[in-house]
Amino acid sequence: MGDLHSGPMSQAPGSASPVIETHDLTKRYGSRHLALDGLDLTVRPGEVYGLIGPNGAGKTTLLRLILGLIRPTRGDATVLGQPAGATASLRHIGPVVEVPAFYPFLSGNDNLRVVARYSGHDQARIPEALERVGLGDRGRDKVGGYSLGMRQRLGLAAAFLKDPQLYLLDEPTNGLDPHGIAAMRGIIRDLATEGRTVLLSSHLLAEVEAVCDRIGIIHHGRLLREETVGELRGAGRLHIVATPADRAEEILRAQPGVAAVERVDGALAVSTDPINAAALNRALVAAGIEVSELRVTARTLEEAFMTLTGEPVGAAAAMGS
Amino acid sequence: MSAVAAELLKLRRSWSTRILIGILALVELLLGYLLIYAIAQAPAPPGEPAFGEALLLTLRPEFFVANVLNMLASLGGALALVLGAMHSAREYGWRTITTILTQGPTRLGVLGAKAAALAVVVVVMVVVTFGVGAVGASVVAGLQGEPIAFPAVGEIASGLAVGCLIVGAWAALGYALGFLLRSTGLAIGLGLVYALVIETVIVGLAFVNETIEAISRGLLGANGTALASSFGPDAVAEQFGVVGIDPPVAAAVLAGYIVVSLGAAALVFSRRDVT
Repeated sequence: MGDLHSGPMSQAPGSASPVIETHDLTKRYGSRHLALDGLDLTVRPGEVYGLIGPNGAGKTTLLRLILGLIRPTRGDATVLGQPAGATASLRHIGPVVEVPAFYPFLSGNDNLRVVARYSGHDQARIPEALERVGLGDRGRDKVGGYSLGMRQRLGLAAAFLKDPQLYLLDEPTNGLDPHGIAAMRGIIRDLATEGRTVLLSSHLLAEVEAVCDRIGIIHHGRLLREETVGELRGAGRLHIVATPADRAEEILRAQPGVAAVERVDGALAVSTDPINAAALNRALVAAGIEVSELRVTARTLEEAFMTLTGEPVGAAAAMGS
Repeated sequence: MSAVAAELLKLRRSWSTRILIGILALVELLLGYLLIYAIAQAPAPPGEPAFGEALLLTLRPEFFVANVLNMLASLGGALALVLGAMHSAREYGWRTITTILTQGPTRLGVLGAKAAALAVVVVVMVVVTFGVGAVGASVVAGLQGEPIAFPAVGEIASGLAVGCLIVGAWAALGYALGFLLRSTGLAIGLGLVYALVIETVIVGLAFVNETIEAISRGLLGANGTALASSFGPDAVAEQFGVVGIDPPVAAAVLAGYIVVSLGAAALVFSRRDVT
């Protein structure tokens, strides 16, 4: 596959500043529906930023605001140093918002010609862009005959055409088969390696966890947290199976560095720095406790999400994690 | 210019564009010439011995401009309205308006590029219909054994300009309806209801009082028909029941429809969220 990103990436004015920055960004539809509520978000140059939240949380509304398709009720957004929706910034953004929309009566090639003409980019890159997403042999086919996954890939090809500094990917694995999903993750990692900035919106936590540097959790239109994956998952916990459990729990609670001890399915979940594992094991053995299992566990992104949003497990399951 | 090229690519590749132009050309030939010729050959109705002769008059090459313009003012207008509505509203149906706008053009730039491309198709539509009309007139002249004598080039050029104005006004109305309603079906449906029902009713009731007559003089179809009929023999005007509107006034009204339609589309499209 060819490399569409030839040479060093051109720098937009003010690219040392955040690529995306929003202040008090609010969008209200009519008098009732508050889609976004005072959002303050920052995406730094060269990072893969994951925006997660359940369906209807406001992710797509945020992307539409960033692209200038809709106007904020309050607040503002700056993209690549320009106001959201400005021509100067849009020409450097590769958007794949929801299921990419194309003209069904046109071929993949012709759809990309329309995109290239509107964006002012070179049509000579079209074959390479199609090749990169695996549509090299389907470019002459009408898009009306494309599957959902093929349209997703054509959307990505349209983004590649612009050789953008910023990719906005909204649920990019929708409609893709497992191979397509793996390929998409690979592409996102490649973009990150090349120093591109990627804003990835998804309700698939595993997908975000796999590729993102930082994550913003959005819920009911509000940004609840904006941290690295590690920060969100928090310090690890120790999973200890010991007999008798009551006595073990008592001893563990008395040890320095132990924040909490919970019973989980007969085992003990100990909130502490994993570096204390050996000391805790020694304390238990010294007290005559039989330790049959001791391992470090990390909080999953799903658990972190549920803790932050207070949503019941059912809601997280609906996110397809 | 590259945005106009992109819009022309879409219109050129669209079967609906070809079908609409093809239907207009075919109907001009079949109904505008061959059917009327067949009727003119039939026995005249009782008490109207000159009926056939009057019909044949409209088919002569020297009057082909009027014949074509009358077709453009009636069926051509309706088809142009459909073309204009599809050209704008389908962007919402397919959600491709999002794809276009995220490439960086201004909204007015998109509107202008689409309008310019639509204008090109309108010109093609008019030129093709004129060509078919010329062929139809020649065929009838041949069948009648009469010499083929087309009007002066100046009259044909004026006819082409008037045809573009008539068809352009309808296309602009459809284009604006597409942006206003964001639904192809609704834009076409309401547009055709206006063209085929509301205008007909108002024109039909124009004799009732001066208010309705004044309203009828401002209608798109009435002005198009009046302008078209200014090219033909009196018989043509009588045949189509034209409301008497001076050609310059009719032309100004049609131009006004184009300006108002594009202005309304620009106002709505530049302000409204694209969701």
